Amino acid sequence: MPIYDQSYRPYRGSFSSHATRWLTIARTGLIQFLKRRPFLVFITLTFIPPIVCGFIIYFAHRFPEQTLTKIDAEFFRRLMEIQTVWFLLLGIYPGAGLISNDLRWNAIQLYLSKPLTKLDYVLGKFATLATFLVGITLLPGLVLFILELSFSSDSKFLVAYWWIPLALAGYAASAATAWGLIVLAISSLSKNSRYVGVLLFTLSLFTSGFAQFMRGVFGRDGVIVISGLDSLKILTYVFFGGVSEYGDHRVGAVVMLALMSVASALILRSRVRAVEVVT
Amino acid sequence: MPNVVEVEAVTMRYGRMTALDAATAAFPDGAVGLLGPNGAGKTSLLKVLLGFLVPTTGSARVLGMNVLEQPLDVRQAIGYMPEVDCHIPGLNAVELCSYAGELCGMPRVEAIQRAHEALYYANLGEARYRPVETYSTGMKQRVKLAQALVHGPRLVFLDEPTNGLDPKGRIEMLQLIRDLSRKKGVNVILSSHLLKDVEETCSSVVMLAKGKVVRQGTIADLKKAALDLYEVRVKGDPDPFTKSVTACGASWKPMNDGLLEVSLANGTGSEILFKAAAESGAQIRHLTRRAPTLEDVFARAVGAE
Repeated sequence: MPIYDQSYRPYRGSFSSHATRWLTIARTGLIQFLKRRPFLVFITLTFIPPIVCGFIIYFAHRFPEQTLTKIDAEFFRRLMEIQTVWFLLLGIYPGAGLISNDLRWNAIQLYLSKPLTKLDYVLGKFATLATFLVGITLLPGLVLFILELSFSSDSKFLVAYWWIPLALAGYAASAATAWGLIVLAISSLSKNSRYVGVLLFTLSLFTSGFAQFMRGVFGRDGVIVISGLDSLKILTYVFFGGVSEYGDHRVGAVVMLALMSVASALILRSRVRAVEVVT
Repeated sequence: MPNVVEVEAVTMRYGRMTALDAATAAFPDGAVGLLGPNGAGKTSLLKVLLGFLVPTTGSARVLGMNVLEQPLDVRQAIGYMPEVDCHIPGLNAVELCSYAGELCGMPRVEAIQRAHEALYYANLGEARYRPVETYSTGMKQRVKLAQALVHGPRLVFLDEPTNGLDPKGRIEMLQLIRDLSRKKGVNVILSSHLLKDVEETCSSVVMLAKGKVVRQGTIADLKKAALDLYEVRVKGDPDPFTKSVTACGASWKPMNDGLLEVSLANGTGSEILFKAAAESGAQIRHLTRRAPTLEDVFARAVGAE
């Protein structure tokens, strides 16, 4: 029967389990962004550093006497550190609009009038952003690890660095969780995604600059952890080992990111609601 | 048939402001109007029923389910058309409605097919492929209705569905609401401050004023029971007559052409009018019993409150 002949009729079909509803939000969010050409161009740009790293691996094996850099844990850590720079841009676009656009168009009320909890909504939005964040860190990291293995003539690399995929997954998950929550929390603070983008950019640069200033004045490197992005860079040392140029502040960075994540979750809890109650 | 919604002594406070004050009401099946002036607590009541707001005291059941204990089950079984302008940015109407269906747990293919049906039913036609941002107010109202219907709810809450509609759009929206409740078997709770909209679509009403339920029942019963209205014309100066009418416990207001509208208290008969005429020495030249409108019932109920 053609659709236009059917008019409205009761729905007799089945409904899926409530547990997976957030996936619908995440999937729709991903599809919406991937349909936009500017976003595709941007996401392609984020793969330039991993492609360069791929060439480095290739040349390291093709011309071993002219090795640019050693392919080891530090190589992968640096890759993660470089990819973390994109986090700020992904936070501004598409992150900034994830909740603020819904606030602007009163869409949260629509979402929550469906059989969804606030957690489902936040989880769906978080998963949208986290997929991109994990996609630009874990995915190229694993591809490069496999590339290195495929070029290796023996098992030395695998024996020495079998844990790198785990480190990549651990870093990608931790960084995406912390940064994703921070971006969503800031996105929930305004109905204007441009303001959110500017706020995120300003806060990131300001905290980083302020931390450098405090370092210069007081000579204490530990203050660097007040910057979210710098803490993420220090977080790479937690998973890949080594000590940053600022010294060993891994515990401080982890604690700061945990605090920022908790604060972000609390902000989201209060800002994501179906009803604006003004008392 | 059991009531589709039961509200038991629900009080809802926002800080010092009381939006609902021990409201107790029963909404039978079919189309029920939730009437009240602006700020009466209609939207607050709907939001309590949706589980958006937790009442300070009291309880509510929707389709037999406790709202506080089973909010997700309640929202699975109902549809909600919000009062405010709202949509999910970046989607066209088909995408929005199918997305709404998927959020309710419908399989994707079914959701898309149902989205087309619901939008076609809401008279959106080919415009359903346009982004919702580009729609007029009337079209947005239709999309809001369609997204509330897409998963086949047994009950829909419509919050001021004719807001911002032109006369033609309003008539079409009211036709849809009537069709839904009378032919499609969907129970409707229509929240509105427009008495005419409610009178045209609903068989029962619940009236709210200052957060309290002031009247409820079928419109026919309320009209019958609420008032004894008479149109009276007396010869000469009506002042002595109106003073006597007031002294007898009735109220009156002037109408056109020297007519007086006299409303008698429940249980009293038209003999009071003759008694007042006799006491004031007035001659009654015209006396007609007038069928009260919903507006009369509402004005009396809200006035009493």
